[in-house]
Amino acid sequence: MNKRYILRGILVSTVLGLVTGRLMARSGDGLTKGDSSSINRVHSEEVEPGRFFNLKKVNSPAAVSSISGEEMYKTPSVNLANTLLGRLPGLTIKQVSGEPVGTQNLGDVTLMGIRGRGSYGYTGNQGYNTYKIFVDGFETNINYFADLSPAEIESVSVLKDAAALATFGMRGANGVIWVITKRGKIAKSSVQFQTRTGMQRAVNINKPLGSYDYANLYNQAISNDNGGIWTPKYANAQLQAYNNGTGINVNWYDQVLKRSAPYTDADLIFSGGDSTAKYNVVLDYANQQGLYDVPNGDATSNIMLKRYNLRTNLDFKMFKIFEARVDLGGRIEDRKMPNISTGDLWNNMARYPSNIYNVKDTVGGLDNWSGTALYPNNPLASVNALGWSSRHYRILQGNFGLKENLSFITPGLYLQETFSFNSYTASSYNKTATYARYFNGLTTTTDKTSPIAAGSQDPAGQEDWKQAAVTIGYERQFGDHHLKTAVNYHQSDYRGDGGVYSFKYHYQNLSGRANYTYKDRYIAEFGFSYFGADAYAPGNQWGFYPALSAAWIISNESFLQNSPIVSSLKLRASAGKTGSSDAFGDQNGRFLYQQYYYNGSNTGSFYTGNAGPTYANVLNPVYIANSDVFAEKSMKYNMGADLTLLKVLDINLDIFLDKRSNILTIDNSFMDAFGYNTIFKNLGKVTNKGIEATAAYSDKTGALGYSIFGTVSFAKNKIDYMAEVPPAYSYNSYTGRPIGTPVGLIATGFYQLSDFNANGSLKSGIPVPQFGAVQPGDIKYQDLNNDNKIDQTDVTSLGKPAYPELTYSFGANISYKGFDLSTFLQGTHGSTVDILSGSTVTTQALVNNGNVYEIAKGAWAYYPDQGIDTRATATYPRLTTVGNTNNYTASSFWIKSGDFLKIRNIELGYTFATRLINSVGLNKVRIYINAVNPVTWSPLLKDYNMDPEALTGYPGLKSINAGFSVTF
Amino acid sequence: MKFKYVPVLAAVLLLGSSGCEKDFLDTKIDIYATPVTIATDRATLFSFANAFYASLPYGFTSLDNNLFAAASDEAQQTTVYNTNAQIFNQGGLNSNSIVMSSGSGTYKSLYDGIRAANFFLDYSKAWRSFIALNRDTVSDPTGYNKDKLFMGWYRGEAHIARAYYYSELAKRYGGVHLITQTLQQSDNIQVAKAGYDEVVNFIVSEVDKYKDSLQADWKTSSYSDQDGRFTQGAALAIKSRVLLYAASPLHNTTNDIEKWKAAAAAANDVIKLNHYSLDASYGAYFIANNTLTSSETIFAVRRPADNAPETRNYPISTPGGSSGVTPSHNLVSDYEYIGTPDAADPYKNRDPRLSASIVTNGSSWNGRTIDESAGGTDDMRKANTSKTGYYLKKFLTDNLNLVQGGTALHHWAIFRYAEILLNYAEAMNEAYGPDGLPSGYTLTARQALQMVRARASSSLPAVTITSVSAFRDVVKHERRIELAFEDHRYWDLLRWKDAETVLNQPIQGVSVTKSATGAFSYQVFNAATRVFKSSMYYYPFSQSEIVNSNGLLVQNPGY
Repeated sequence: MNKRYILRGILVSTVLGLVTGRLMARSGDGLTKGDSSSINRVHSEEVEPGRFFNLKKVNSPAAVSSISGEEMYKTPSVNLANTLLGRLPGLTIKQVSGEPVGTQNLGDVTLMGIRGRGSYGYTGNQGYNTYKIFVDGFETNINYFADLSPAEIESVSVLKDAAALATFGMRGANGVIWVITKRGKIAKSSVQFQTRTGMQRAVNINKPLGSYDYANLYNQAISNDNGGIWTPKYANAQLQAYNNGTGINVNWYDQVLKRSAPYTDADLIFSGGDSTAKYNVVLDYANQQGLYDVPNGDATSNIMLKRYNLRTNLDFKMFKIFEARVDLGGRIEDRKMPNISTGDLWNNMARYPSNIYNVKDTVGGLDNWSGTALYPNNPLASVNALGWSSRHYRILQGNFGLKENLSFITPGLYLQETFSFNSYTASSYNKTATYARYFNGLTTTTDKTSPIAAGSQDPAGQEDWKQAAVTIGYERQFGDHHLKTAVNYHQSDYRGDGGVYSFKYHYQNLSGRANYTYKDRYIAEFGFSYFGADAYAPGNQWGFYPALSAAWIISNESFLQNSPIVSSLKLRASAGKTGSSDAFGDQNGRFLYQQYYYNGSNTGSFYTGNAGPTYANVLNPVYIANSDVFAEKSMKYNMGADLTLLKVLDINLDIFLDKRSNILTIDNSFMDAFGYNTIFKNLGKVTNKGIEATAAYSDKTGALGYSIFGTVSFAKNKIDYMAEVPPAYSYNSYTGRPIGTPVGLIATGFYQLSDFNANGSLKSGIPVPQFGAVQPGDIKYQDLNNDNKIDQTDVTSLGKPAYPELTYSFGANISYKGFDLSTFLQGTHGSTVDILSGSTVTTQALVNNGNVYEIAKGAWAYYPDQGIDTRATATYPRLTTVGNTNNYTASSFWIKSGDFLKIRNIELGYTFATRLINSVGLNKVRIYINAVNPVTWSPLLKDYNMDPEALTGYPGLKSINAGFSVTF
Repeated sequence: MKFKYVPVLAAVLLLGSSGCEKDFLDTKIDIYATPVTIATDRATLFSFANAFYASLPYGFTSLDNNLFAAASDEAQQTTVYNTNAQIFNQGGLNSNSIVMSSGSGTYKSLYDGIRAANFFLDYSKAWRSFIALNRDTVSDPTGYNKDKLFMGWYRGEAHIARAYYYSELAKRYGGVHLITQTLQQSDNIQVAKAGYDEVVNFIVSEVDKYKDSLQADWKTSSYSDQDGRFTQGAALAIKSRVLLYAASPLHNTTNDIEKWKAAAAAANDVIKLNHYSLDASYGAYFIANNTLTSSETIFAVRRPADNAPETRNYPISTPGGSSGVTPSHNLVSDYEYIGTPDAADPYKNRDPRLSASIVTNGSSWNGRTIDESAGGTDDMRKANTSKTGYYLKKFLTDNLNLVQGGTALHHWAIFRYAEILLNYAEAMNEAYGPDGLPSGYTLTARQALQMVRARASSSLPAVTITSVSAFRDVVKHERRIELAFEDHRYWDLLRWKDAETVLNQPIQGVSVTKSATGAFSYQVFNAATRVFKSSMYYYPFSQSEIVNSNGLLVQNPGY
């Protein structure tokens, strides 16, 4: 049996989706326990992970989607979140960057969100990362989760509806990611080794224009600033030099980056067990090197992550009534990077023009790093001459559980106590140097070259999370009635100690659920949580959260039981209440019942004395306290159907409605005359609704197995009430629109010469922008209120929010004898990107001594004597070197579609025939190659050379990998 | 079955260890002061006594982070990054203008200051027992007695600060909500707004009632480190300005002479203190720390050294400068001649306050001779050079190296003696004529005016006209020159009801040409058009304030 499990894992990992897992299973292997599904489906043996107890999928009335660790292993990435991309309906993922985590946490590199945005109150990171994560029944955070290895994972589930979230109280409103790690099974001992290595490249880097284009466009910009009189800064000879390659022309990206960087990981898995003891031990190693072209040595370092994970999950049976479990999941992370922040380095590479200086200043026979007062941080010197910094993380989650079978009292009764300790410490260490900046043989800044010197080892944060739970459970079958129930008390103590890391989060949760099944046809479930959070005033800390759900397995009714068409059909419905104790603000919305005074003021400061005035301490309220502040409330409704037709087509459908209320919001209805009128109240309302649908078709003809599958998740929200400052016109408002709707002016083109009088003023009748004088080539806006002025009263919705409404994925698998081939694509639809605020360096050409990109080539310009006339074809406003509020303000001009479709994975594998490898003592051998993120289709990429997921900074990555897996 | 009890024991242990801790959910870590901590810390009382000063308007950041002058006919804002000056210049003031919510001295910040003053007055009611907390008041009474003294002053100051904030509100809005206690959440404003006269009466009664509980002058007291707080002189100066405004045509439609008399008496109260005098040098008074040390200052807002005013107002051709608020030719042409006009140089032989306040072409500034002609150092054709041909000089320290981060002190004098003399001259003239001298007064209107003019220059022509109306014009002119850029002009034009005439005139500038011999010649041109609508005599209340008042706040007419 043990080998079979591993075999199954390997089999499953050879193709995409549960579908193929099932396909293989049906092909006669006898592997029917297919909980490694990426798509919800009714299958009698499948288990749906849930809190306190799992249910057979068929008996669950909840909306849950799950994926197995084997499936997640298909995507090579140090970030576990990346392996979920597109695999779980209802889970939206955004890969912000492929950075091998220098100082950033992995949770900020790949963002996840469940069922769209339900609330504007707690925004997480760009509206993502608002859910909660539980690993083996205990809450952890995204950073703990993201650094787990797929080899440690049994399954990851997304709990979405009231039924699934019933027991989570104030942790449930934004969904839960429920993780179960691998445990040993009763089976013969087995050893599995798997490794893979690959080369990673940037998905896309938007490189700036070279010196020749830069200088030409600069000449236009400076002339525009001089009132349209041609006053070039770069003379023809200089332009000529740039054009023929004799002038300075440095592409900083080419200097700093190499084409590709290696990625490697390896796992060793021991597993086995008998009736008294079971074990599963995972050793995992991962090494991701960054894209910088710099050696790893004493004085320099690439950006990189090395990670060592060790997980031991043990189960024991003792004295008949006891079952004990001990899980230890620990890891060490070594993160190292050049001694410059990744953001600064990438910003400098993007911002420093090509013609400012050569990499090295060699005037007078010297060989020094170039640098000027205006551009002091030569990007290549930044990675070569500043030394390196590192961070060292040690993390351990230890869970201990004891379960007592109380059948001697009444059959089916048990009691269970569990404890969890999760501890995290980080320290930093660096070796730093600096360098003198030279230009034309002279130093230009006060920096002096210094040799590399070791810094001190400093703490960089420590946290621990202690949790305990007691469960009383009862499960029994009486004839046609089946009852499964548990009541649980859970308390959580999450704290960080010392200085800026100091905080405590406590909560207590008394919860339970009872699942009742009648004749395997009718299912009803009740769940509840009585939840207390420390965020609120004593006496106002507890909330009650009930949920009811039901399901009807129609295909078990006599009239459908033997239907040749409908293989299975189940209808589900759930309704219930959950909450969220998260809110916006410095302290996560906590303690708003407490009146605080701070040394500062909304309005100014006060100095006294007559010689070098001294600051006078003041005390003002931080806000006006509100003792009634309480958790946000979410009423969730869900209806679903799971259908299998002709035994080959699976369809799942979920429709949901999430009504939020009591969102913690500043009450803007207080008059300013109140003074210090910042008052938080539970008054916001949002409606979020959507659909998730999946379909999978799989079949087999002879030795050829094939399947296709697809999934769609749609969620759309609307702010019903947010006590908004009353807007001038209803079209200015945020209320009534989706959360994060971009609001700005509507661009209608460019001002033309004919719009102006001889003295440069706008002709009468043309609305006058209130941002300052405009000139031909500036962006023209629509005057919505017809007051002949363009100002903030003319702003309106510019389209959909950045958070996509629709995410979808689809793929296909083919297997033939030992070969398997799979593809997997994922995309989003219905989102916008604001390229102005999203990538200022790229979009505000030349401003603030900035750079120019392809986008600026379409600039409006009219210099007939120089043969420049783009009046009719301009796609970008006139250039300027000093900035321009009129053009660089939020408007439809800068709002672009964020839609994209990416091939996320293509994999070709070969599994050696069993008889062949058995002879050499092996049970299973598989080799494969795959490509991750090889192709992106996106209008933004096509038109503006920007990856809609990662506009600036460290880019997203694509990779080509090869690996093998051996089981003994 | 001895194990039978183990699970029960384990469960009891777990619940007992922490679960039943009553205070498990009490995790609050107070990083700020709470009502409990402030109640046991005497120093917090003093911090609250500072808090109500934080809303004092700092004139260098009044409008677009610069002087308010660009809203009036004194100057034109250069930078393209402005919206607020334009709102004033183009008659765009409306209930959605963001001008009311940004910058110094706005509606919200004034009411925040009023709340801080109300809070202090409520909170410090029990000050006697508070300052005796945790100290031996019998055997070591020094500290206690000092605190006692201060608390007496501070409570008076809170009344005066509140009165001052109301005067600033009334200046902008006319009648406003008069809130004299710390509002609680439950009592959002429930009264109608007070009329302008009601606000004025409140201010006057507060000054009358509390002026004597104030320090006479911090600067000359043994607590000079506290200078910058309200004094008797400052309180009386508030009253003087408020009554002058109340007597002016905008608010005194029937020209009630009694109002002018009250205004004259109020200004006279300041003069009678015999504590203030005009500084010897008009130009130097505004520079660096002189504002604080001069006996001309009645009340000034202090700041540590910075270079923001220079960064904003130095010519763009000076590295780090951005031209900022550039004086209009309308203003420049109002400076009198003190000798024969020189056809070749219009800036020669002028009232010396011109060269103290304004950088003109051909003068020396920032280490160079300003040359705005074509090809010159400050060629007006270059981007972001002055729109008018002039640059601001008043308040600015010359030759700060902005690139190297050079800084200077910039203090904002809210009340200075010259203003009081001009308030006095204006009110006396209206009440008693240019030369009337009723008993109890020591100066005539003409004498007060002459003091201000004499300080500027002994060569200024004597004021000889005798009619009240002609003298009125002279005072108006004098205020324009003497108080230029000090945030008086715009409000003076409003209260005189001259704004519709004056603020609809175009802003003029001069263009500069240089002959082959290097001689400059000047051509006056219209640099910008201006629009002032009759509704703009008062600010509009913001739309959200109207909505939130549930009908209690009536919008000012015309909006």
